[in-house]
Amino acid sequence: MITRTYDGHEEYIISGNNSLSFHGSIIFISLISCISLFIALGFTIKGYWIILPFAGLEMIFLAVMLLYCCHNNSMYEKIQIFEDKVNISSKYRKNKGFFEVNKYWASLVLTKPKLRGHPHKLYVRYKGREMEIGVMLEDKERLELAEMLNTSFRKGINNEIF
Amino acid sequence: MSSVVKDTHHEEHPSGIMRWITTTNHKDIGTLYLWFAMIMFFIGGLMALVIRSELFQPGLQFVDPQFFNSMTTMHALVMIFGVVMPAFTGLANWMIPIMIGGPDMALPRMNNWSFWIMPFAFSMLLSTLWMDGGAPAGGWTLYPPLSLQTGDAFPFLIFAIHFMGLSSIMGAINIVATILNMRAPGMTLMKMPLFVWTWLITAFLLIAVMPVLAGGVTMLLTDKFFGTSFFNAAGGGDPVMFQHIFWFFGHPEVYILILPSFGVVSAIIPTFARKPLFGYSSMVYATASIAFLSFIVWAHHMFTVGMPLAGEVFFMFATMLIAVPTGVKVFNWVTTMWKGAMTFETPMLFAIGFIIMFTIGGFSGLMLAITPADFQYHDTYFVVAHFHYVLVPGSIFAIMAACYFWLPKWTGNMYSETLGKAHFWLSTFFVNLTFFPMHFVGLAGMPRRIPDYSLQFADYNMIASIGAFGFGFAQLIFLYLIIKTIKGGVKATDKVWEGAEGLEWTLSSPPPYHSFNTPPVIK
Repeated sequence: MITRTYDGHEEYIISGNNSLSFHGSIIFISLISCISLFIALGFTIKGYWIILPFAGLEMIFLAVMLLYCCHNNSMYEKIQIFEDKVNISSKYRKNKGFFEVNKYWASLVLTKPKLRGHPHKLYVRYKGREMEIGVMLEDKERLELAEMLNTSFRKGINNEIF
Repeated sequence: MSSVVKDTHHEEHPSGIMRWITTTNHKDIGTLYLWFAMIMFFIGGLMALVIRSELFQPGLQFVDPQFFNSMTTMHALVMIFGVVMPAFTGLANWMIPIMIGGPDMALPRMNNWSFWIMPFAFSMLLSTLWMDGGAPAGGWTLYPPLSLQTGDAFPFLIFAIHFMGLSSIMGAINIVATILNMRAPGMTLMKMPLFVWTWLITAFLLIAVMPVLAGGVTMLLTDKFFGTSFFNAAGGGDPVMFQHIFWFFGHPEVYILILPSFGVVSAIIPTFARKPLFGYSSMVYATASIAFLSFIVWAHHMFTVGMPLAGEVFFMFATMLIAVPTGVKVFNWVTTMWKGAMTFETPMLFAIGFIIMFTIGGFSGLMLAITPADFQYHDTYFVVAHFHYVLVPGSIFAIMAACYFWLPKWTGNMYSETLGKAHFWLSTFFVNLTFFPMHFVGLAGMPRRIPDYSLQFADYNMIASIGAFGFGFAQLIFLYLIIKTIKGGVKATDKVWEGAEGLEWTLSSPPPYHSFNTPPVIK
C-alpha cells in the first residue's frame, strides 16, 4: 500500500497488507475474552474453578499471538524527497534502516525477475550501496512506485530507470 | 547506511524427512494433517470393524466386554479428535491462505507445533491399549465415576486429551489470526469464501470451549489422584455437573465437526451447478446463528438425568431452533442447484450425498430434541444412527468431497473419475446399509455400548455389520485413488473445474510453494 503526501517535500509511506488494525485486534481480543471468561467465571461460581486458569491462559496466548501479528505487520518504508536529498527509512520487525542519498547522484534501479511470474525488485543505489524498497508491495504496485519515484527523482535532473 | 532486504528464500525448501519435520509451509502442514487423518481413519475404522464383528450376531464371539467397551471409547476419540478435526484443519491449512490471498498462515512456526503435537498425543492414547487395566472403556464422554475406574491408562488418556486440545487451540488461534490479519486488499469479510467463514466461526467455537474440556478432564484427574471431590458425591461433589461441563464443550464440538463441512459443500455446489451460491449473506448469518445456539443446547444430551421441567422445556425448544438456520442452509444449497447447469463429477456426488444424508441425520436429531420422545430414545441405537448420519455421510463425506474437489489443484493431476464414482456409490450404499437399520433397532429398544443383545435385534445387526465391512473396504479405493493421483495422471488445468470461482483457481496446479508472495487485489 502506497500513501503519497506533500508537506513542503514529497513523502511516500509504503506499508504491508494488514487487514486487521491494532485497534481491531484489541476489540476482537476484548470481545472473545469477555465471552470466554464469562463462561469460565460461571463455572467458577459453581465451584469448578479449574476451568478459569485454562481460559485465562488461552486468552493471554491468543492476545500475544494477535499482537505479534500486528507487530509483524507494522513494517513500513518512508521515502522523503527533499530538494537535494532523499531520506529512506524502513522498519522490518526489529531491523530499522536509514539511507540518505544525494538526489542528484542516486539512481533508481528496477530489476526484471529471472523467472516468469516472480516479482520485479526496486533498489535505490548511491555510491556503491543499495537499499531495496517496496518489499511488501505487490508487483503492479512496485512498478507504479518505480514510475512515481522516477518522476519525483527527475524533478530538476535527468535520472533514468534502467 | 544501507539495508538491503533479500527475497531469495521463497522457492527454496528442505527436502527429505526434514522437510516434513521442520516445515512451516501451510501446504506441507496441510498435507501432514490430511495424511495423519487418513491413517487415523483406518485405525478408527478397524476399531469400528471389531465392534461390528462382535455385534454380527448375538452372544460373545471375538472379544470380551471390557475390550469391546474400550473399542467403542477409542473409536470415538480417534474418529473425532484424530480424523474429522485434523482433516478439516488440514483443509484449512491448505486452502485458507490461498482463498484469502495470503502468502502463508499468520503463525507458521506455531502451525508446525500444532501439527506435531498430534502424533505424540495419539501415540499416548493408543499406547493405552497395551496397559494394565486396558484402554479407557468408559465412553468418550468420560462420565465419572465410571471413567475413574480406568486402570493405568487414565492419566495417559487425560494428558492425551490435553495435548489434543492444545493442538486444536494453537490451530484455531492460527486460523483466526490468518483470516483476520492476512486477507488480500479488497477481501472484506463479506467477500470471503464460505469455507473461510465457517472456519472462522469454528475457530471461535474451539477457542471458547476448549478450556472447559481442559478444566473438566483436569478435575477428573485431581479427583482420581489428588483427593478432590469435584465430581465425587461422597465428598460433596456432583457427578452430574461433569455431564454439564462435558456437554458444554461437547455440543459446540459437534458443530466444530460439521461447520467446515458446510463451507466445503458451499464451495462445491455452485461450481458444479455453474451458478453463484444462493443467499451468501444468509449462509454467513445462519452459520453464526448455529454457533451461537450451540452454546445453549448442551443439556439435550442429558434429558434423562433429572432436570427441572423448565430446563427440559428450554433445552428442547432451543435445540429445535437450530433447525431454522440449518434449514436455511439446506434451502440455499438446493436453490443454488435449481435450474443450474449441473454436472455430477465425484465432488458434486459427495456434496449431494451430504445434503440428503445430513438432512436425515438432522431430522433424527429433531426427534431426539423432543424431550418426552428422548426419554424413549436415550442411550439406544437410535442415537448411534443419528450421530453417525451426521458424522459419516455428513462430515466424512464432506472431507472426501473436498479431497476430490481440490486434489487436482493440490497434485496437478486429475484423479480417475470412474474410480471416484465407484467410491461414492459403494460408500453411499454401504453407509446406509450400516446405519439405517440402527434406527429400527434403536426404536425397538436396543441399548448402545453393549457387546451382546437380544435375539430380536439379530437381523438388523447382521445387515449393519455387513454394511460396515463394505464401507471399510470401499475406503481402500479412496486410498488407492489418492496415491495414484499423487503419482501421476492427466495434467489438471489451473482452473480444473469449468464453473470454479475463487482465488485458489487463479494459481497454477499444483500451486507454487509460496502462494501469493504479493497479495492479489480483489475487486
